[in-house]
Amino acid sequence: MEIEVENETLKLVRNNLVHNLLWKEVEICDETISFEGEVLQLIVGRPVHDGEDIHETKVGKEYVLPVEMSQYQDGYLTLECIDQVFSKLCPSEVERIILAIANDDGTVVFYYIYKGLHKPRKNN
Amino acid sequence: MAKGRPNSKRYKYPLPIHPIDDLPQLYPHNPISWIYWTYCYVKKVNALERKIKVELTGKKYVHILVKDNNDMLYLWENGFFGTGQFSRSEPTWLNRATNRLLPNDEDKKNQVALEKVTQIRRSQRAEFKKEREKMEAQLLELRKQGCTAEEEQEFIEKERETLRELRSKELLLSSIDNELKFRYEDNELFDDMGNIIQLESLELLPVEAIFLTFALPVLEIETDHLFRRLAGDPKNVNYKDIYGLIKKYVAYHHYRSHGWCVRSGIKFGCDYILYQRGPPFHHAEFCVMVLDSEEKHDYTWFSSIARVVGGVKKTFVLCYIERLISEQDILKLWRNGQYHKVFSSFKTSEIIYKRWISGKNRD
Repeated sequence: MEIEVENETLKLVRNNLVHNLLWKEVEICDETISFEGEVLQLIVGRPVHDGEDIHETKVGKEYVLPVEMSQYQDGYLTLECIDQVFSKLCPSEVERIILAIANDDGTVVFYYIYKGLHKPRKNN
Repeated sequence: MAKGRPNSKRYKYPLPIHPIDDLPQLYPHNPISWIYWTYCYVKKVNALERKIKVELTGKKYVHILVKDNNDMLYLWENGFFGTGQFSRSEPTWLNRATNRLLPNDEDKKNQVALEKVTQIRRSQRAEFKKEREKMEAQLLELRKQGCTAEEEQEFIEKERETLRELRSKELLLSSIDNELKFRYEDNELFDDMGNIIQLESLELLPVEAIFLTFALPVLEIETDHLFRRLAGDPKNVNYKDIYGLIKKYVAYHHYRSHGWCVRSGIKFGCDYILYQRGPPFHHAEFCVMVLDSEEKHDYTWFSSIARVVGGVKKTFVLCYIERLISEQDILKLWRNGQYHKVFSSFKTSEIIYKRWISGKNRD
């Protein structure tokens, strides 16, 4: 019984989090916004390794934004787009999101994006 | 996965189309041998018996997926094409999931168990001690109440029996420990027969798909259809719609035809990385950035990529693509489906960019 999700990228990132990275309590959020013809929707979940990193966030959960990138086409990700994600899709206490970039070469890469300035992590 | 098979055998062929290399031995003095050899030579073909099925999904950003397990393995083993969506490169997710959820294979069980054994034994020991403590407390209580020697003896017997039972139950439990690792979400992964569903596909880069369709007859898809999906209806395209794709493909084809194994360079912030044979053999030696011959960037652009590439001990190659005919002519050829002429109307030339450090580069 596979989970039914229409948006292929959303499904890909969700399955990657659940079945590859083995995250816990992964859920696809209901709210969506559209930006330049693309529908943006967040995935929320808890990473397995509760390292120091995770405790930095007050919420304890990570909010993941799947986006697409292509080798030969322009992307749509802009500052305005990220602002809208923070203001419309996240609870107000969320300080950072994780950008999940699904490339056309079959990889998904993850990056943190912080709301405003953020003190760098100590390098142990 | 074929374990214990040497890499040189497993990855014998650099491309999915193989040369005819199994002709019979020729004995020059024996005319029958000549006839037989010629017959074999004429009869043999090196085309694939069955082309590889691909699925194209997505609208603006097209994803090219291979879903059959054997096809995924074939493309990986014959030229390292594509990337497993849940893997670093070779699609290994199904193996990993099987190991995690169904470790019945003795070999695999030992591998998985080792890390867990200590943890399980410790928790069992703690449980056992807790139970024993409880029984001891009861015995003390019994004594306080002033029981007879027989009653005490009887209780001790009972205690031993209970603890022995607990111990054997624990041993039984440890053998079905797998179920402890089973998560609610894992239900999605099983079909009605209890087998794990293959969730992972092999994704091909657009340029890889073009190479395996236009240059080598490997994928079961028409070249025209593929280009239509990647760049839009040829009647309505502008030069800038197709140029990005052409530029990347010309470079890809250039390196593939010179025998390099070309893979996506996204992890290092460039377009391609070049392997002499493939990922299992060596690290990639070169990072390639594909540029138009007229393209201009400021110095920080070059230096930031060069620093990343230098940091992973690779050589930074700038591959310049130069158009030899006018944009209108390219468009005309594209609309007529003369892709061969389109791609051969570009010239490639390369520059190696290397940081020079006065202290280190004296010799």
